[in-house]
Amino acid sequence: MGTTKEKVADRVFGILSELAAIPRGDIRGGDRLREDLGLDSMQNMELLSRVAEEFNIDPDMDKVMKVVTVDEVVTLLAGHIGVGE
Amino acid sequence: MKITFVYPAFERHADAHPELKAWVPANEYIGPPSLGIACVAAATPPGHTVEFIDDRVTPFNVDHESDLFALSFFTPAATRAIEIADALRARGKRVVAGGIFPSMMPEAVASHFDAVVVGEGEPVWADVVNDAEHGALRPRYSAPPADLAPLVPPQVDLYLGAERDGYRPDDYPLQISRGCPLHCDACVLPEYLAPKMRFHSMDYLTATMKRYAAAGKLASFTEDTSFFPQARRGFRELIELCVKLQGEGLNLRLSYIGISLPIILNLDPTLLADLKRTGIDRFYVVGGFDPVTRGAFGPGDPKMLDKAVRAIARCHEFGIDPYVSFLVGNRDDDEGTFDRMLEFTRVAKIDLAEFCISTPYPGTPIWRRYNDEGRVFDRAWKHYNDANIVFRPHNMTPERLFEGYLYLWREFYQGRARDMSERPHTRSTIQF
Ligand code: SF4
Repeated sequence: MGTTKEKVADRVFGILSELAAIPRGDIRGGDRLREDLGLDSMQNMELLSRVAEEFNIDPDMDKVMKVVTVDEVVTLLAGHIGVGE
Repeated sequence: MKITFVYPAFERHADAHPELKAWVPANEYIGPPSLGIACVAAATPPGHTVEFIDDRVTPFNVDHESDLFALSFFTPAATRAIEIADALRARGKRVVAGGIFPSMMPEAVASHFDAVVVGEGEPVWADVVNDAEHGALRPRYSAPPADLAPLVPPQVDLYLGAERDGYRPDDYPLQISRGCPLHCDACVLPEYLAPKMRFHSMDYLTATMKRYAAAGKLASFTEDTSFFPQARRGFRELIELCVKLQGEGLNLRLSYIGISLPIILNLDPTLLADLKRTGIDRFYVVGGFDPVTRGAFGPGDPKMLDKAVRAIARCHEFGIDPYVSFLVGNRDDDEGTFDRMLEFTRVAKIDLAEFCISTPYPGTPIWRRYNDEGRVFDRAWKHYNDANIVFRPHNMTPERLFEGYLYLWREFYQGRARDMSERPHTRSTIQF
């Protein structure tokens, strides 16, 4: 069993791999969702929505609109579960 | 007091261009009014009687007697609303305006009405009624976004009672939420309903769905909010509630959901399967509104076209019928856009569609931009109905855009008469 943040990261990488059609192992935390992984704004939203639903959290929309990298997604969502670094 | 709510008429595609009736071998569908009047009527304080006149169905008689007239309208109906208000006030009647157009353009309507409600009606409606009763209407009532929790369900019986032979909508809308944090450039909702999303309670939704079921009507979800992170769970709960109510024997039938192709392309497969379980068998999709279809039809980006085709294929895979409303006249659209759209309908196997001119409605970001750029040349509000050119497009003349719009209707429906006549009612009926 990992920490909650690791679980969030696991789901974020899994869903990203599906949405961006990129093997999971090729995705890095520093990758930018739009520029590096080719996600459009709806895919960003779908990623956040699926993970938020699974972990039962309501992320702040203003912050959702500002995330740029994979790590930022994980940090934002984990932050809402109350887990920092 | 007796309060009369009026939903003013507006021109539809085939009213504005009767040649469409000859070209389009589909049944015409007149949909129900937006929920605004039913919601505000439900917030009327006790001690008053309310009635509803749908001017599209029963043309409003200006000699009608009432103590207060409340007109709710969007831009296409503004010309008719002002005409009705002027005639009523000439008889000394009190008339109140509300809805999207008065909220976005209060100055354009103020001189024609005794009072204008700006924003959502429920928070100020009791004040309006009280002030009217005491002969003290104020010129403007500005409503903050309503707290949805205490709202009683919309008084849809007013709408059901307005049905007549020739006007019996199959489905009525179910509003799930209000507000939107995004800023799509042709959408007025974030401005009208505020950026913060608010959700109706399950009790509110249950009561509305039960009323529709009792009347033998289908319920439609006009907007899919499921793609917002805060909304996904609530949306799934609503779907589960529908399945549960159906399992308990309620004759709850759902028709369509308003959605976009990029959402369909990425939506969680389990959610798609759940939607199907409720009996939803149609997606109402606007093409030429989102970045994918704009890229596909404007510059003809092959990657975007491929995405759009895959999204339609996904509908077919889940057994959901895509009904596409094509918007033409966007920023990047040029004279090749019409044929790109038609080619897309062929490749994606779309067999039911409508065609609309992308229109800068007051309150939208493109309204402001096109005005700043000096593109808007027509302010006759009845022409703001997706069927007329009111602005100078970027890459073609207004005349070419208009010809292209008619060309799309004609070409798409050419040769489909027999096929359409053999389809079930719902698959051969469109709003045009
Ligand atoms: S079109 Fe939909 S997502 Fe876009 S701003 Fe309007 S309500 Fe929001």
